[in-house]
Amino acid sequence: MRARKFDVFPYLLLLPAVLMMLAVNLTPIVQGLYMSLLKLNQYTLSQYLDAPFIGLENYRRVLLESHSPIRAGLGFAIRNTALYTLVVSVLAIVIGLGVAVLLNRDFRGKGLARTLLLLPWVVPSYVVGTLWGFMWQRDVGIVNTVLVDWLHLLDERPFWLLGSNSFWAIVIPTVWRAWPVMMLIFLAALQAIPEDQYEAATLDGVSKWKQFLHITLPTLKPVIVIQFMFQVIDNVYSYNIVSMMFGNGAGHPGEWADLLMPLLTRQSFSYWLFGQGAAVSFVMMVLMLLFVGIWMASFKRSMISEE
Amino acid sequence: MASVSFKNISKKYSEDVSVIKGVDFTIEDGEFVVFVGPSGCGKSTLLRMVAGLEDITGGEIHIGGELANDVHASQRGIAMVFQSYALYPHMSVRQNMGFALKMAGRPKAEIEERVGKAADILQISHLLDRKPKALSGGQRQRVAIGRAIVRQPKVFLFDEPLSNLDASLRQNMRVELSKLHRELGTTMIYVTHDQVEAMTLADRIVVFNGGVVQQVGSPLELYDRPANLFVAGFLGAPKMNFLQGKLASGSAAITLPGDEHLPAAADVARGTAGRDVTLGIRPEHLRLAEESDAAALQARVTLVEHLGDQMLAYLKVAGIAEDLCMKLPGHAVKLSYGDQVRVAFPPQQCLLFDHAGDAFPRIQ
Amino acid sequence: MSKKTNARNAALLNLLTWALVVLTLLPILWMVLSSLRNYSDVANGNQLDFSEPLQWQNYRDMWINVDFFNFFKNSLIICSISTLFATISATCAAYALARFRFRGSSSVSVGISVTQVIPGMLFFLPLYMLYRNIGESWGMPMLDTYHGLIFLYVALFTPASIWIMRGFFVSIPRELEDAAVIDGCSRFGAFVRIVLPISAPGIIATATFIFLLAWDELFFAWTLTSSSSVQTIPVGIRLFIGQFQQRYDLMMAAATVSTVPVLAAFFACQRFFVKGLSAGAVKG
Repeated sequence: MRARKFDVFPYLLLLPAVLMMLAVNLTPIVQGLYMSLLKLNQYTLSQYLDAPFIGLENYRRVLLESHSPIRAGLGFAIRNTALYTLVVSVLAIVIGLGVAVLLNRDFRGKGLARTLLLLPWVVPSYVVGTLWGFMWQRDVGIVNTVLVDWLHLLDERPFWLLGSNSFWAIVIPTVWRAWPVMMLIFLAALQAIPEDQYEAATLDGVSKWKQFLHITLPTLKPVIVIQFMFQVIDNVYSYNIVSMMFGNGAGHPGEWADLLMPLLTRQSFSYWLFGQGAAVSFVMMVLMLLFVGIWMASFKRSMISEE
Repeated sequence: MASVSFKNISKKYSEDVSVIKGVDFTIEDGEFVVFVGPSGCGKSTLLRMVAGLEDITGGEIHIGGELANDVHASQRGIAMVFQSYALYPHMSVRQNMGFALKMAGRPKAEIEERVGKAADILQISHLLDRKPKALSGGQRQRVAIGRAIVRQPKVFLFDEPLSNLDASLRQNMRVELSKLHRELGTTMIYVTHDQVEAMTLADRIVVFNGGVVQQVGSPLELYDRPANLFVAGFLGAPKMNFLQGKLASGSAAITLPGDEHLPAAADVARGTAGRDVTLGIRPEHLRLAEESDAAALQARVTLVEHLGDQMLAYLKVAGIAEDLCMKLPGHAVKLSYGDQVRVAFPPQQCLLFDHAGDAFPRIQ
Repeated sequence: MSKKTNARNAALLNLLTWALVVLTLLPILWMVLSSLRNYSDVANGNQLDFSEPLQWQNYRDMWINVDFFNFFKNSLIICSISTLFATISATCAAYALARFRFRGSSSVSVGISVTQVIPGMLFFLPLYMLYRNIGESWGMPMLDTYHGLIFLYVALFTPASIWIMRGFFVSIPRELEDAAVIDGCSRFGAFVRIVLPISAPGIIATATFIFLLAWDELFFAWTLTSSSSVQTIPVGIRLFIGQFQQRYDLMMAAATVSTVPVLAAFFACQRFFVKGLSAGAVKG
């Protein structure tokens, strides 16, 4: 029904959601921004927003001073998070797409297979952290048992939760949990491609692989681009798996497995440098907004240019 | 009294987007009126304005003699059959048909009775407990109509109800709708883009184009005396033949680019000699010329289509851009591609349209 | 291609598919298996010694060691109530955005997208302080309470759900609501009587999705609570993980029990869920 004069109905419907978003999302952001301009530590915390105003000092300390306690580990966390996000997002999409192509046919038990393959995503992420923390154990973990004792792919039992291996120790479970949803989405998108496009190509003598490259991929491009962006947003803020996997849930993930959110929260609680923490948060927010903005803009442009 | 009158109706979506301009006519009680026109001409919008689903930017609509502009849709005494039937998928046929009455708080016994009666009329009593997805297209259509009948409205509104049916079903339903109208006698407003439906169902037709009413009248009136080029070209299939030329001086006739002269039985008093005019003649009125026919043109056959009961011959005349179409009885003459023929243009059947597309009045 | 090659290819693909399924599920199976083994076997990596009977008492031990029933109850209550309210608010908001054009609708849409890019965790301290201030200044404690956490969860998970529900509503033909209005429904009546029943699958899918998200939430459950009367399962596991030490069998039992409710919810609603995610996805 089209609205006649001023129609209050949609506003009423939206009211709860909007109020909540303002309270829980907007207010903290605004306050967080202000916080990043204050000298907030364990001494001044009780003053909270009345703590001394120091302008961009926090930003300077975080970005430029290399011996700030928040800085320690920040470099690693940034590097790890960037690599982790990239690797996980790409792998999740590639594997998800591959499995979707595999499943995009009629066979007995298709529904069951699809449901079962979704299960890793259903498992809570902190369970994934705990479980894989156990699986990666050097002596009693199943991974080493399989690699060394059964398949003899390695001679020695490596440490997975220490050193540079710990990077893979967090990447692999994340990918394991992420690709099923990608598969589901790509499967739906694949099924929307009309069969006759492939039939026409087969009549023209185009190989299956080339069909994938020239029909499937271009058609799927919008979906892939958007899902990649969602993956990046998801993974940048990854926290649960890292938090549960190392040192019995409270330990330090080490140089190669520390991500931005675990670092930030850990440093905040250990060093009480809330002002600097807020500065880091704010920079992260700006970077992510920039990423999304640029990504979507170039995506839209590429869509238009293809018309 | 269930007449529907439109007084200077207009509808704008914004300052420069005007969908309906200056619509002004009255539908009498019990009439079957068809709104016809191409997609986007505003006919559906006007129907929805009668229903109360669209705002009226300007003008007044009266239903049953009462001003209806601000009356809620359910209070106007109308019932609507949608193009896609709009049956509630989670309710049975019985519940679908009784829904409006339930909303109005009618007693259960009354609802049962009215639903039953409507189901009888449409022969869907055996479907009452099924859900819409278990019905065929034609059955769903009947349920949609049944839902409208149950409400015993003052005016029935149909929004392209037959366009989702296949051809043979459409024909059957057309006949049924005519019979329904005769049985119920209620005012019906029917929107379609199909001119065959318009011609066969309507007591009167309203032709729309670009939000403006082109002509209102009975089917035969519109067919024989179209008010402008648009109406002339819209009704009748195959389309009327149009030839461009100039108005001859001193007589009601057209001078074609090749200097041929074709008279028409029209009153050209208001016209100026030498200005652009269009001659229109329907395919069934063209015939092969005899010796005595003065108004005739030389033509070459480019295509012949045999439909069994009739034959369509497409003719190329020198200097005329588009091929003419001539309709002849099925086994009348043997014509084939390349034949040279002389085609007669009986003046009694020729219409003249001025440079703006409006028709000169016909002389009988 | 000959029929025999086709059949052989199909069989090969089937084999590949089911091998993939098993491979994917292995960690989960491993988790369950390890939870049913003697802890010394697990410590030595001997879980696959099937001569040993299943150690169901691991579950009992775990339940006793850790205050698990408490955490379980808290998680169940908090997640269920959050799901209920989040679904309701998301459904209403999504309907408003899907059906109406009004001033501010695009700003709201943009706002919703932005909240997805900036998660609550990024600015957790202001949130914590907000909760503390409400408790101290307005006399309504938010920290360490059911309702505090529930309100946060509803606020956090509603925006994402709005997108999903919106996709469902857009796919319902408007004519149904028009017909309902002609039949005498108010707009709200049309929404409740016609649109909601038809979109039931979508609503169930969305609710399941929210439940999964809520059950998964660790950070705020950890920071905004301090007493075991409110703390949820993830907090419980994290608190006691040190106590488990080498008792991986108990840890796996806890992990398994934590997974069962969401697994059950998923299986119960998976039909709607799969359809829902797929439908919304193709539109991007």
